[in-house]
Amino acid sequence: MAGPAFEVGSRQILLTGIGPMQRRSFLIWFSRTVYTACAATVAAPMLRFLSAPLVSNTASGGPILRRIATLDSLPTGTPQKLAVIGTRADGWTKHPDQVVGHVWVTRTSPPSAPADSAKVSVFNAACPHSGCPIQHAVANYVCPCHGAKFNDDGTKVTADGYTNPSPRGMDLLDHRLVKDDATGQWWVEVEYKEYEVGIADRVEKA
Amino acid sequence: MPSSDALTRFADWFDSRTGYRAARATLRERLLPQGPRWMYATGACSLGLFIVVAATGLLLMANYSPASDHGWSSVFLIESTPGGAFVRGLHYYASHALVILFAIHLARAILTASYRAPRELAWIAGVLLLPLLAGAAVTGNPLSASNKSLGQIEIESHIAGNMPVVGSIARGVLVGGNDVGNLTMTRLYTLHVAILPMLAGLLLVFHIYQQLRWGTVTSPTISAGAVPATQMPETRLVATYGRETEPHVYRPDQSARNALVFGVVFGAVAFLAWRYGAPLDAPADPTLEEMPRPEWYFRSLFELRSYFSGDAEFVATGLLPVLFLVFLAALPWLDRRLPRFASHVFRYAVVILAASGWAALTAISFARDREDPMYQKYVVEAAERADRAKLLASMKSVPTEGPAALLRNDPLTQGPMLFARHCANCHPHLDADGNGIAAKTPAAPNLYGFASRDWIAGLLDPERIAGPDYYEHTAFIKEGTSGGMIDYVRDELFAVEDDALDERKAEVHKIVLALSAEAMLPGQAAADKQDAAAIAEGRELIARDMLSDEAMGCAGCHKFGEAGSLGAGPDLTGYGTRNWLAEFVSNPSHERFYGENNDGMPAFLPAEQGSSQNMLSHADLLLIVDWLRGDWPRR
Repeated sequence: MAGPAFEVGSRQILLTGIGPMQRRSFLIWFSRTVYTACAATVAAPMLRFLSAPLVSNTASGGPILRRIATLDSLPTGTPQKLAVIGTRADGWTKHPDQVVGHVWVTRTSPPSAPADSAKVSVFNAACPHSGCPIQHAVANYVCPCHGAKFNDDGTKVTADGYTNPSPRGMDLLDHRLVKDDATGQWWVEVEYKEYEVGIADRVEKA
Repeated sequence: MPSSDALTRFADWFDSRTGYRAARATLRERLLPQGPRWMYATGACSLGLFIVVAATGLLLMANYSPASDHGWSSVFLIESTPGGAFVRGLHYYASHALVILFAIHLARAILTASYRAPRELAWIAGVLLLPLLAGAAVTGNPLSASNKSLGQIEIESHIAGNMPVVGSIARGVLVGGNDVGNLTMTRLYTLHVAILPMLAGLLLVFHIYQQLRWGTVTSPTISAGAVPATQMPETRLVATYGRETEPHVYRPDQSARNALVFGVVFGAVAFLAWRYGAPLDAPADPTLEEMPRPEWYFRSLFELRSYFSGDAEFVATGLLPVLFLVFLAALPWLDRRLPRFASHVFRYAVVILAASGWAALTAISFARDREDPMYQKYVVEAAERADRAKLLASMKSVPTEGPAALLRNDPLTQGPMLFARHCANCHPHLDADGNGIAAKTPAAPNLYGFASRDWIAGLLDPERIAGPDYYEHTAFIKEGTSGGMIDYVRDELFAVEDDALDERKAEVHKIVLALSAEAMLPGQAAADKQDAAAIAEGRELIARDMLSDEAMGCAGCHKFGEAGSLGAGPDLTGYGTRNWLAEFVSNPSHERFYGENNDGMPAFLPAEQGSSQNMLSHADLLLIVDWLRGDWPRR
């Protein structure tokens, strides 16, 4: 076995007073430290890079305020499925004027009610169970994926022998009726939001 | 937390099923016949760099999209994601370091004759890694879909296409058609991330297996019968250079040397990645100028090619590189025919000739470019374009029509080029130091700083209005038909009694401020806001027919809002705004502008879009207008 020296080129760094076993364990410790440091230098930014979508908020541009239909175009009592148009940020590109989601809109007040006191309900069309697009059947809302049913007021349907897979009722969206200055028409303006699915609480998506 | 006892029992169980302890011991306790050497670290260091390149490459795949428009955008996104620039920098610089380390590894294998029997196959596997490494570089560099990198692959694919017989097939398969495009990117990507690394991995495993199988073989063990001497005619395994060292266990002496060398190399790579990052040129756009050069490690081949022409180019681009590889692969058989001393000289000659040839060709090529002003200008402009594209992308994200639109719709980038092509025949665009775009045959005012306070002040300066920056070269001066404005500024504007001169100067100053503010130049917004009061007074002065002392005012000839009328001079309402200037350039002979007094400026967009009378598209015209007004996105 070599003596207690560590060669660097032609120079010998003498580790005086250190026995062969200490020298051996020092060299092993040294190798491990170097490789661990190198691996950490690669791994740390890699983890940071992979987890970047979790911390940055580039994908969502906040709530979208959109006029989606004129009041006159909504029949009383019959839900209408309407598209919400907005800017969709997709990775490195922003697509203007894209369909970002759908809503079910129902005029609940009779046609005779004056426009400024008309009542409208707006639900996000995504099922709170697993995010499928909810459809409307004759009597109520039905999700085609796993059979969740909702009443016209958005609450969960409960019935004997039927287990509703949805953890909560449909997601009601804030909206208001606004009068267009130019045309004098009344519009339904929706504050479009998306919520986390699969949980009982209504938590807005980040 | 499992107890250490449980861990030991698990390790025992795992070992009983896998035998990992024995395998590990084989690696750690193998004997080095000549003892530990610093130069043995090149192999381990190359392997380490290969792992870094592979690991960072896998991660980059998570964000990268191979397409000619999305390639650049996704790389830009990687660069702007936390950690992304560093990971990409590691991938980039580790691959460069791998090229260097691999070359050193090869050279030291030649110098120590480690390719000798029984290690010929380990050597050949290593030689085959060389074209794979080159292939990884050729397929990897274009993936950023930048102007430079697509320029590189354009040329490299034609080099492949010029191979005899198989050339056009090879190029078609590589490019995925005739032109470099989306399919080129997906194909390069497949080669770069799957096929080449897989082949390299197989060769590496085989190379390392061979190394382990024969690495501990020494002359005595061969003669002692471990390997039949009949199969091993050559028992000189490695050159010992008279250094007698007893066989030595690999760990820790050799592994500590490996660790130190790798740590230093990796440290340099990490520093470069952190300090400089990997370069990203402007997005590919065929309208941009390009003088592609290969990466430094290919420079020698690039230079070599310039000594051949026509069909003979294949000698440099294909034949010589392949012959060199064949020569390397044949070294074990070439060298064994030589006596001991001759072999020694031969091996040193191979390494010295190859290294100095490579270095000389590389140096000549770089020196050539260093002395080429055109290339130097290109390098500066390309760097400016790259910075500009990245700034625009970070300010407003990449538009849906692709990253090339960033620079194509940027007034700062396109303005000078469009101006040089369409306007600089007559108009110069030169700053006070004479830098900028000179006119080919000056016949119109210098448009540098158009509508700025300084520019308007010069226009209303008797000393300057007939000078080279304004009307000196126009028909008015040249043919002595000097128009009303020139005479007015020279002979009337300041023709007052001495005691009234200061008041007149103050009036003209306010007119300058007001007219310049009319243009609403973005670069002057703060100053315009600050001088709002003076500007309001100036506007009133412009709108008057008469200045003090019975001198004619602007509205005597010009329309300005409600005041004045069209006919004698251009409308000053909204003078210099985007709309005003766009309409002016579209048709200067319109009655709103020069009318019949136009001395020669052509109408660039007199008709509807698409008409053949138009010399400019509306988009290009606006780019020129925005550039003249200094109206472009700024940080």
